[in-house]
Amino acid sequence: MRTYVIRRLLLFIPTLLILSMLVFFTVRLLPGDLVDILTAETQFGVSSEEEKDRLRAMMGLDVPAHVAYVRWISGILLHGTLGQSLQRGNAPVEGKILARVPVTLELGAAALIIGLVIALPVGIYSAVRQDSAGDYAGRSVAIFGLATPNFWLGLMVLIFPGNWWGWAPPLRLYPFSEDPLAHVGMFLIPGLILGTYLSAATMRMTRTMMLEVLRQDYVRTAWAKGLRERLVVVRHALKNALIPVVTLIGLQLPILVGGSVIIETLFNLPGLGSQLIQALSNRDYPMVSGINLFFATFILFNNLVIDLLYATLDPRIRYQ
Amino acid sequence: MAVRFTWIMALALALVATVTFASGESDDGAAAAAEKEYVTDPSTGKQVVKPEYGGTITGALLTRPYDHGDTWITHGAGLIAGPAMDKLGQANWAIDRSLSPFTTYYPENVVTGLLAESWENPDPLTYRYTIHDNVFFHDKPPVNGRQLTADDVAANYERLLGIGRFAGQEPAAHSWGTKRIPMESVTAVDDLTLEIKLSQPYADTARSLFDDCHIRAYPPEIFDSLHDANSVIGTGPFIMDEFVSATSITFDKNPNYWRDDEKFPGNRLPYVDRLVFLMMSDEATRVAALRSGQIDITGDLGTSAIRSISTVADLQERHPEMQYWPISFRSETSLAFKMVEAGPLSDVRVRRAMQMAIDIEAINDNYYRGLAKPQPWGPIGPAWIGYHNPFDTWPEELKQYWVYDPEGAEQLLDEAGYPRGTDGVRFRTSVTVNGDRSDIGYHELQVGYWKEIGVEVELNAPDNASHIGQVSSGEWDGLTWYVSVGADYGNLDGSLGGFRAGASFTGGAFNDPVFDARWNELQATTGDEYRELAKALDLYVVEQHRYLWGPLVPSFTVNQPWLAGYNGEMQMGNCGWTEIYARLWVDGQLKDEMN
Repeated sequence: MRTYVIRRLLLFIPTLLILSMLVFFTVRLLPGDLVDILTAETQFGVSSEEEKDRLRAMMGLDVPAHVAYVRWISGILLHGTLGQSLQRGNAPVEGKILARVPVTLELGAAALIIGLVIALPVGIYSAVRQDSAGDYAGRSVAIFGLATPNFWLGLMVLIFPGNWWGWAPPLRLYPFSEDPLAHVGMFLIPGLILGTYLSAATMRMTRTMMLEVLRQDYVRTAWAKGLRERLVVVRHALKNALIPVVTLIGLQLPILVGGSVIIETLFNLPGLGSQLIQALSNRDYPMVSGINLFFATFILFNNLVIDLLYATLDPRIRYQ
Repeated sequence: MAVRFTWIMALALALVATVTFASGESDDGAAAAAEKEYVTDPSTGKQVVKPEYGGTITGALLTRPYDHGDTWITHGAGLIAGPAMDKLGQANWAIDRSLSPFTTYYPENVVTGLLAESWENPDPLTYRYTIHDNVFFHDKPPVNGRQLTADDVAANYERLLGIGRFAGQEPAAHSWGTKRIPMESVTAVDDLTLEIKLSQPYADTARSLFDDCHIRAYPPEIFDSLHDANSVIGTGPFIMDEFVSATSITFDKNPNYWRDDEKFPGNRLPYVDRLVFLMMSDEATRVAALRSGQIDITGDLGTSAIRSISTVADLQERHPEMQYWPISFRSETSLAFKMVEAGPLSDVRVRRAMQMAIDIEAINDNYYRGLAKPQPWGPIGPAWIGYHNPFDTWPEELKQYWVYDPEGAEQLLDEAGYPRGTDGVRFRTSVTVNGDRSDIGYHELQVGYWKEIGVEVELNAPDNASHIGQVSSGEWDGLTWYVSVGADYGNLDGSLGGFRAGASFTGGAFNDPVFDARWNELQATTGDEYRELAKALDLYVVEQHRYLWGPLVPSFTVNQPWLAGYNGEMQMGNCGWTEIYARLWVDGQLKDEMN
């Protein structure tokens, strides 16, 4: 087990190195930089090229991309810093990321909890009551959830309740210490929207796996022993059925991260997703690269944790 | 039986109580409404609920790249620090600006003193200002409420321009306006007198010195920490409480503010206790916040304004109680022709034909619901009174090329040597617009109109940053959206000057020696001669048809009915967007009734 973990962690190094190049160079392939934006927005054609060059030098944009990359990666390896944002105050990127991580984590947690709270009971019910009206309803909702992009759902939630009842989800995030209820309330609707998508796939997988497990001999034995349905389903069937479900949830986390980019912007949540959009729009290269690298690292660790969870859920699994 | 009786009695009591309290509230409300006092807004002559103190105004702002580094660097300072700051002068709040809220650029009658109590211009190179003697910085360390002096203002000018005690340092101002002022020195003659010397006469000096975007009175003690908006200290009506990047900006009332409302003397500003700006980059989010009463107003300088005409129409239908203010900020439908030496677009007849092919009136009536301004103007917009050439005054031989005439367009193309080919196409070109900001639907209509006259146009719509990058580096062909053409406020240096060779945003799009020579001649003049030369140069650009006019489509500032004192103004002066909020108040009774 320990050897396996060490080997996986060592594999992170080349993976992250390649990822760092991807996230660093791809954003620089896009036309336009922050100096272009600033001068175009504010100067209406009266700034000189010299002045733009001066601004580029101030921002460190005057060196070739490969030189900038070496500086950036050296900063990470030698000083543990992701560089400085090109925007306000040239603040360290890692500081800005850490300041926004809690919001994204809260949104992710809300989505995950809501998704599981919907998916597991519905998936189990659909399996246990296969081909009943409830099963069909649950599966239809799941297909709707899978087919509906979360940004579209988010827009609908913003537009139609406002049109019909003058209601909109809370759009101002209060610190938890100031107003805990308002703080938690801010995450409910966006969490529900992200969770809906998550729940759809999870529900279908739960149903499929439960159906498979419920047909196993040991479950039939449990029924034959005269155990109550709840015991058979929860104690004997569910644990085994959940192993692939856990994998699926792990695989869906990147989708959750991707979804948060749009959902945070729509619902005015100051998390990493909305920060990424702003940084991209403003061509804040260090910030875009830093956030992407952070997400990539998070997903790599997430995959490792999911793999390790297998062993906990299924003692038959051994890591060589 | 007894239980049923008890229930019936309880329900009856509840009903009676409900009716009683409901009618009681109604009576109270009626009485309060009767007591409600109204005053006349001297700027518009309209009745408005009497100003009252207290409450909070919550507005929406966009997150912009403006907050790069030093708050001076761009006019973002006006958004971020505006409510906390004062300038030497500002737009006159007490005159009606509802017809053209961009009164920043009225050179003569709008700019008035703010920090400056009086001023004189003894010779063309000298400007002398006397500062009010009752102005104090916010009561925060390190200044702790000390008095503002002329030397503080002088230090700000010197820092911006890299002169005086900041000589040898990089000028802090990177933006338009300030740096163009040929300032030789700025001196504090005494505690309250500031003297500015120019190295040469400059036509726009009075407004530029007085009301520049960047010349705000920061205490020199905080110059080194201006990169941190939370450290902002000024003499303004609000005190910065908290700036959370890309999330919110919160201000508290400055209890020691020194100035009265210009419209209602005796009313010390500001009216509200707290001012909150929420950064909302998505229009759907802002509209939802507005509908649900989570914000009181959206729309500042066209940034957080609502741009979708259909959204506004829907809002107006469902929320007629809200107030809607059209802001004709800048035309995002007008395009610039890249200046080329060969090819179809090098011929003025072709450029004219492309204009004549488009039925702007029909597009306005059908697509923009009649809300746009279809009639063209030159680079100098109508807000620049005295310099602007209205369409009606254009020579008749020019006017004909700016109105819909597809037959005339085809005739011009034939004359220019571009007959239809066997496939019906005369020539091909491209249009590059801003995918984030341009109205793609409008440009698709344009492409359709051009197809009618045999001109095949490829439409490209990269995102904002990509578009700006392409345009400023000259990596575009045909036509592109050019930020200053068709702006209501289009001014001399920006819009007209944008047609000179080397103007950065146009990425070398223009290289007209005739224009450049006339531009240089213009720079050497002042007064009436300057005005006439500017007007003539404006018409020269029209005659050369360097740009393609598109309708000026408004975006909308929308506010809740309980936000009082607002008449659709956009600025208190140059970049003075958020300063307006000190002069607005909340009709608390109406707000309570509606929520």
